This record gives sequence, structure tokens and C-alpha cells, in this order.
Amino acid sequence: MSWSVASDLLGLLFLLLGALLCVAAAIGLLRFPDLLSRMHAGTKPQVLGVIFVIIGVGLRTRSGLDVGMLVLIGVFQLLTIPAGAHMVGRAGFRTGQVEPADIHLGRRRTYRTPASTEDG
Amino acid sequence: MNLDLLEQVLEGVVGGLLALSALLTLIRITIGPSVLDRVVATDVLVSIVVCALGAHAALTSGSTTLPLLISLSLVGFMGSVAVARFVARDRDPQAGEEARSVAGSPDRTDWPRSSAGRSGRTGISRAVWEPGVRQPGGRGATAQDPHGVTRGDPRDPRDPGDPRNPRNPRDPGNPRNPRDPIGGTS
Repeated sequence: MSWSVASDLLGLLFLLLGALLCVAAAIGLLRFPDLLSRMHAGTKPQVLGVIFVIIGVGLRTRSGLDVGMLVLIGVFQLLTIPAGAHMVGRAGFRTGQVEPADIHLGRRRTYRTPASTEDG
Repeated sequence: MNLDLLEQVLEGVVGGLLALSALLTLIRITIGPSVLDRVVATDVLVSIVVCALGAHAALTSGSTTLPLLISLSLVGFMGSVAVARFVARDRDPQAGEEARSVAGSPDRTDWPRSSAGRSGRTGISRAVWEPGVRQPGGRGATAQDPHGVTRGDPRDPRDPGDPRNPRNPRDPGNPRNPRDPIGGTS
């Protein structure tokens, strides 16, 4: 077995792993109960699945220009996904879809009892 | 050795799995109870499309779709950011009420605190926002004041107890709220 055939098979295996992560995220999106759980499930193909797929593409094409573009795809994905997830999570908190008891901060106790300090 | 057959089978499996995940994500976009669930599912659908285009580029060993992948990974998040800001402005009280009732939060189940005339499915009527279209018996109506007129303008800062008041310092979504753990402008 030559190196090119092994690389092709390994790339196909990475593609399969990426597709499996996509299926897992879709099932999680359907089955999980609330917004934060669905975001937790949805970030799997957005980061790891895309990285697996671009590793698979790089292993199968094996040209320098394509590998550079694949690295760019991975970098842009890693830069933009947290921004979008941050905005969605903050909007979810402000529309009341996130339980305040789920947020663990140092000021949680003062947040949990707003009625004790509001009238003072 | 039938490596070609193995490759063909694996190509079919990858395509089938991506199609199945896109279908399940479309179901979540369709039935999603709130806008934000649909936004999250749309992000996942964009990444599934990225995976599918990458798989196409790998299996046909052509590099024409790679610039498309770069642009898609650059602009794929802008829709979710825009919709998230829009939802934060609009407050979507119905979906929030559903999520609270499902989650059973001990903190915010009494969030529309004035229980007088709390009616309807959500307890928050759009008429509270607009002083001209108050309905009799709606929220804010009392026995002495069946139309809830003397509550005044709900945007009046002198009525900070109204949970729909945008200047309410107790509203966790108010950016001026010092107790907002997330904080920030907008």
C-alpha cells in the first residue's frame, strides 16, 4: 500500500468522523430541552466537525495552495463561531430563556435575591 | 484489492449522514419554540453545509469550492449576530414565558409580579406597551380602575416597579441594571 492510498483512506476516515459529529449535533438539537443545551450540542460540528473535514480534504488533495486555504477556513471558523455563540447566549439570557440559577458567578447570591435590596 | 468499492461505500455513507443531519436540523428550525433555537439550528446548518462542500471537494478532488468555504465561514455568523441583537431589542416575551414555565425557575416564575388581572396565556399583553390600546381587564387593571389607565405611561421612570418598563432597574435585560451579570451595552 503506497502512501497516497493510505492518505486517501485516512482522509475518508476523517470525513466520516466529521459527518458523524454532524449527525450527533443534529440529534442533540432535536432532543435537548433548552437553549443552552442545544448550543452545547450545536458547537460540535461547528468546530471539531469542520476541523475533521478540512483535515480530510487536506489529506486527500495534498497541494500547498489548498492546504493554505483550508487553514484559513479553520481559523475563520474558530474566530467567528464564539462571537455568534456569545451574542446568541446573551440574547437568550436577556429574553429569559436561561435560568439565572444556571449561571455561576461570584455575584450570584446578590442576583438571586433582588427583592432584599431593591426597596432600601 | 477492492479499495475502490470501499471508497464508494464510504462516500455514500458520508453523504447519507450529512443529509440526515441536515434534515434533523431543518426539523429543529421548523419546530423551534423560540427564535434563538432557530438561530442556533441555522448555525449548525451552515456548518453542515461547510462540511458537505468540503466532503465534495475531497471526494471529487477539485479545489473550486474552497473559496466558497472561506467566504461561508467568514459570513456564516453574521445572520445569527443580527437576529440575536434583534431579539434582545424585541424581548419576545412569549418564548421566554414558555422557557420559564418549562424550566420551572424558582427565581423568575413570578416575574410579571402584579397578579391583578394577569390573564391570557402569557400574562403579558402587548397593550401594556401602548397606552392607547389598553384592553379592559388586561394586565394593570384593578377593581377601581378596570382599564388600567391610572397606572400611567409604562415607560415613565417614576414607575420603576413595572416589569415592562424599559428603565426598570430590576429588569435583568436592562443594560443599566447594575445586577446584570452579563452587562455591556446594547
